[in-house]
Amino acid sequence: MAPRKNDLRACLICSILQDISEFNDDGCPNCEDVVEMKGSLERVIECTSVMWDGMICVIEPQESWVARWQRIGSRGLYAVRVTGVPPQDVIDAISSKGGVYRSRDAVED
Amino acid sequence: MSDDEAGNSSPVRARSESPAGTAEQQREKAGRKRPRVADPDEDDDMGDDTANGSGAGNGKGRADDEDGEGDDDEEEEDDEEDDEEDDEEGGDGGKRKAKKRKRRPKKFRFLDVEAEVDDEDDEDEEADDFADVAEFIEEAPEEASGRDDVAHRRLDRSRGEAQMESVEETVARLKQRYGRGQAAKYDPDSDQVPQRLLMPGNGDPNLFQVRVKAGEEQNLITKIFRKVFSNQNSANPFEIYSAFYRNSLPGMLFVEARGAAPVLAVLTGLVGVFLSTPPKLVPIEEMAPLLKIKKKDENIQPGMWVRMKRGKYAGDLAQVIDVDQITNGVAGLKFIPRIDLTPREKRSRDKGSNGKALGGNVRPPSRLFAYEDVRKIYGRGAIRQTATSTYVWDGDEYVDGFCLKDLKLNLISAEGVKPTLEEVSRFTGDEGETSRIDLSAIADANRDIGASGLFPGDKVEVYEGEQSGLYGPVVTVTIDVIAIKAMNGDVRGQIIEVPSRSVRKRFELGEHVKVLNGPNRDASGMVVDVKGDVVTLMSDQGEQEIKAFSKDVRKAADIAGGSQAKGAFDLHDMVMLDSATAAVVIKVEGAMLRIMDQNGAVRVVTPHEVTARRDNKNFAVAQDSNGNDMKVGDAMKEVGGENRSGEVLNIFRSIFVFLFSREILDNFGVFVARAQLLISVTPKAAANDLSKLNPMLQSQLPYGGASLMAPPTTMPNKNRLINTPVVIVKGTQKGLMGIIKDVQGEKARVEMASNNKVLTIDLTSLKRKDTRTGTTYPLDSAAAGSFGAPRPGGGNYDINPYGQMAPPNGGATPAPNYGGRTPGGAARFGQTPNPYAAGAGGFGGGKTPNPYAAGAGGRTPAPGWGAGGGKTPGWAGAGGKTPAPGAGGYGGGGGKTPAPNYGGDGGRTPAWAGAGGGGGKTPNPYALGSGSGAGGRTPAPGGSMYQDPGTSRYGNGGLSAPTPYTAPPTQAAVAAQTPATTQYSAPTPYGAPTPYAAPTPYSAPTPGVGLTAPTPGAGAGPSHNGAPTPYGAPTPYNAPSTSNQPAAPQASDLPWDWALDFRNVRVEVGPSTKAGTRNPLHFQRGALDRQIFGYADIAEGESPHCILLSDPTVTADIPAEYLRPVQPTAPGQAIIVINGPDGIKGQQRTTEYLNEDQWMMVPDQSVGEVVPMIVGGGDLCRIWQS
Repeated sequence: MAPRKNDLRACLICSILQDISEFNDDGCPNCEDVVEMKGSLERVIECTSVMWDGMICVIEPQESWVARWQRIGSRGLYAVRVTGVPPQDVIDAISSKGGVYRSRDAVED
Repeated sequence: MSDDEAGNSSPVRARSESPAGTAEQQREKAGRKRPRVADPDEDDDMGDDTANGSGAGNGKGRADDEDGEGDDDEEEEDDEEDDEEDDEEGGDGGKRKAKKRKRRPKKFRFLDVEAEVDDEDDEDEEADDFADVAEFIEEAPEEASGRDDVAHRRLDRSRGEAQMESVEETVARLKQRYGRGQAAKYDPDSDQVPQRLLMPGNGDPNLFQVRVKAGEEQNLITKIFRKVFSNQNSANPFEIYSAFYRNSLPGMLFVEARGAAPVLAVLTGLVGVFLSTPPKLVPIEEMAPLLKIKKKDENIQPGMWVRMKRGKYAGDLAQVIDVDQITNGVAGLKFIPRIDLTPREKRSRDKGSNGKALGGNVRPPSRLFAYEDVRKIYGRGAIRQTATSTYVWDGDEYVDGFCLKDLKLNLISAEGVKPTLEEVSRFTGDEGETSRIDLSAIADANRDIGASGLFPGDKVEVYEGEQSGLYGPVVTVTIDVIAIKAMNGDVRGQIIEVPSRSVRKRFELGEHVKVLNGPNRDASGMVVDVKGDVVTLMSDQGEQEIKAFSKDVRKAADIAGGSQAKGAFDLHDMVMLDSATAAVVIKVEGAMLRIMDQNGAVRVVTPHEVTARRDNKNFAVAQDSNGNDMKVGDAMKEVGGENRSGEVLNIFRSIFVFLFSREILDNFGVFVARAQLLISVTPKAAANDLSKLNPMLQSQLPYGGASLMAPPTTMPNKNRLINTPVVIVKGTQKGLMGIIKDVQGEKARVEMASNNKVLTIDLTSLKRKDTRTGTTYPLDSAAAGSFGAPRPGGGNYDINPYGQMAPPNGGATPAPNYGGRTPGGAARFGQTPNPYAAGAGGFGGGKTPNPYAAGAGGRTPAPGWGAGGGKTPGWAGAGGKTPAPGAGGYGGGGGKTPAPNYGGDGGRTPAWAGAGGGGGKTPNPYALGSGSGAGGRTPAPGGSMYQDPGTSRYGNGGLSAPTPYTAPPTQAAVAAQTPATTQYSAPTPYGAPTPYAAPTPYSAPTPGVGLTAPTPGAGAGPSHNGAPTPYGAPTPYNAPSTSNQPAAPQASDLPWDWALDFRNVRVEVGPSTKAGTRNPLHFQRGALDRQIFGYADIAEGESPHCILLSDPTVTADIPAEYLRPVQPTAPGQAIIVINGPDGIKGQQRTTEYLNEDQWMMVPDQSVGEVVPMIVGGGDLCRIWQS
């Protein structure tokens, strides 16, 4: 477990790190339209995880290979890995938008 | 194209639907969440924007700007997300992105939108302006109605492109666009590309590894983020693209940049970064793995066993009740609390402020929560009881005594928990309540080993899942899946694959199994119960029940035997129970050791209760009863007790000897004996004494007294000298006192009393010092030294006939010395004290059957005799005959003296004296040796009969002895002197080597003895066989005794009362052999003549109590004078020598061969006898009951 000071949580979809009140107040800055957790603490807890590993600060998402590899599109603090599975409706929402849900935890080649 | 769409649609919405306030809110939010991008192209854009925007902003009012900002903001986000599409379009993303709302309002403020359009017209070849145009169009859609061809073409083109997208995508996009105001848009595209296409290439920035302080990684990342962010608008923004750390790589940061310089720039000034080691370039092929590292997850599930990592419960086992892993990172645990029931100064009250410091250094014991106990200590108010018999105390909830608590996952460890049965049993506690915790949970925790512990052929059963209940042998094993051949169910006979974690080993009751792991490892036994994963087996070794997890058990045919090496201790290893108690492992029982300690007590211990003794087998030495060394591995035999023999396993403190014999069943053949009670059964024992190896010498002793060589000049037993207080009488150290610590040859190592040094000094320079009296004696006269009064110098040896042999023996044998030593020795050996050695006082009570055995026999430096004497059970007579009981020593000495006739003579003398009932005034020379004893005894009997059960008729003799020798032993010397001279003056046969030849008048008075005491010399015939002894006198009586004795005359030298010295012999009744008896010649008028009796005991007076052999009911008390020995008639008969020199008389042997009336005996191996004893038949008597 990472020693974390303020219990940052990671979005299960985009792995951005925020604390729970930020998620609650503003939702996920990247994928709010699929996770729709703004305003619902329950939803936030469902769609985010405290089990994450490694932190990335993405500064230049366009240039950065790290951002590309991690599929991070915007600036911010992200987790390298996030453990957890989002609720099924989120996965459905992603696929309905033509996306593919990729676990932030899986190891791919 | 999305931008176009956005341009076409959203602005309208934004304008029409979004109130300014909303937009503002959005902007703020976006500003917080989405920091501006520091764009390298900023400067150019600025120029462009300024140029482009000059017209565009013209027509826009201030109020519009607000809206415009909001829109721009959204737009920008779109831009970023749609980055790739933009690239496809060929648009310059950087430029487009460069539109910054902070600048734009300024432009818009002054620029006409129309002009912007115009500008765009001018620069329409710049694809990158396309976006700008769109935005401007967004700003003022109304004005766009007048767009030109270019705009139309562009629109057409983008529409065409948009149509190329899938319908759903378009819908989604539109939807996203519309929903834009509420939510960030999810971009599905970024997830489409397979990961492998994202591998880094040459064009990508590099990763640099930086060393940082471990634990500061996360801090540093956020610091870097803030630093870069705050510098983005400065003149020199940091040109790094990203930075990250991994938990699994502590002390490292990775910064992505196009060179080391920006990395250094951004890290400079950050605390915790070790810039002393320059950033290291990460090779391109290692970049992806850095991000791919995945720590093995601890997947915590309810029912699992975990251990707590920190605090007062560190290491304690807990069971997971529920898990909130992902969301809260906690697990509900159930564990046994550690409540401090002895708080110091209400320490607990401080807990709130003090936090975990409560425990202090003392960890309270782990025990179940007990309401009463806690209430007593902390008061009723501290505990809140809830409805369902749960208590809340100190913020924690307690159910059934257990504490239920949510713990953060980082405080618990699920790896390698492996709860032991003991721990789990504490959880399960008493059966009822807690049996709900099924043992499979424990086994679950241990399961990973279980799978790998499966081997093809093991019988398993499936206990969960679809195939539950199936069982059969394992066919193949892989990591997660095993194939079993089903033995039951519908699939019988088929090979079924099942998850390995769903199976457990199956054991039938009665199967013989072996435990492979756990505390009972290597135990084996029979399965008596199988409950879930727990197999109960009855141990082969200890007959106790052993519980083990089935995964730890295998079917096995072998029995864990006691002979196998097990762990730290092997069979027959010596272990220490404590510093003073040693023990030997006599059996290894699984994990337990059965040991026998030095006192012979057997117990079972666990290996950790004992400590291994360092292997000293090569050095452990002890002295046996002969003073010979014994070592580990020697074959030894007990000299007393049960006469067990065995091989020495180990020796503790040179006293306790552990032996092992295969023939002993008790205690697995191991027994303990004192070293001093052992004797070697190997000829080695003789090696110390050359005289014993000399068959000539030995054979001579009994017979050829006259030809005996002088006793070998053996050294005094040097060991005797050890610890002797001495004074140095010669040399530079003269006058100093010390204690002999060691004797080496002719030198002794003397520990000086004065300066604590150890000096090596010639023995000749030393004299024994009596520490009490201060008198000194020669070392050799150790014996003399023990006398209460010293002999008058060494000269006494010269006048003492024994003097010639005294020196050699002096150190060891002389009776007085024994007096001092033997009792001591006896005490040590735990044997009965030698009454003789004890001195006069010992007579009465000394019932030892063989007083000399321990003392003289064992010790005498004349082993031949000594041993002989010592071995004479029941024939204390050897000594007994010797007038000197002290003769234990002396008897031996006498026995070996060059004048063996003395021995014999002496031996008889007192007897005779006794017989004569003479006043016992005999100036028995041996009284010298005997000191008090002999003298006392000699006269004492006075014809009275000797009740001594010790078979020595002297047993009580001393009691009434009116002789000077009754003096206490300390005066013995004084007494001794007298006889010493007396004996010389006595006209007795000392000088006569052939006293036997003399027709000793039976009635001849001994000098000094006025009575009928025979001359001492009389019977001494070295060839006692044919010797016309004094007893020859009554020969006439012998003549008529036509017994079956082949050599009546020979028997005639038997004293008439020989039988009183023996018992348990066969006797024949015949005419009285007592000369001058007043009894009738025939007992009961010859009614019992020639009948053979067994002689059991002495009834009264001199009458042995005899039992008729042929009819045990017939008993009679027959006076000894009517009894004569039953001689052996055939080989193999057990006999006892009833007549002869001291060393011979009393010996028990088995006849082996008859030659001309001489019987050759079977050599007695136990005493190391090599040369068989040969005794005339007349001197033998068959033993009645062997």
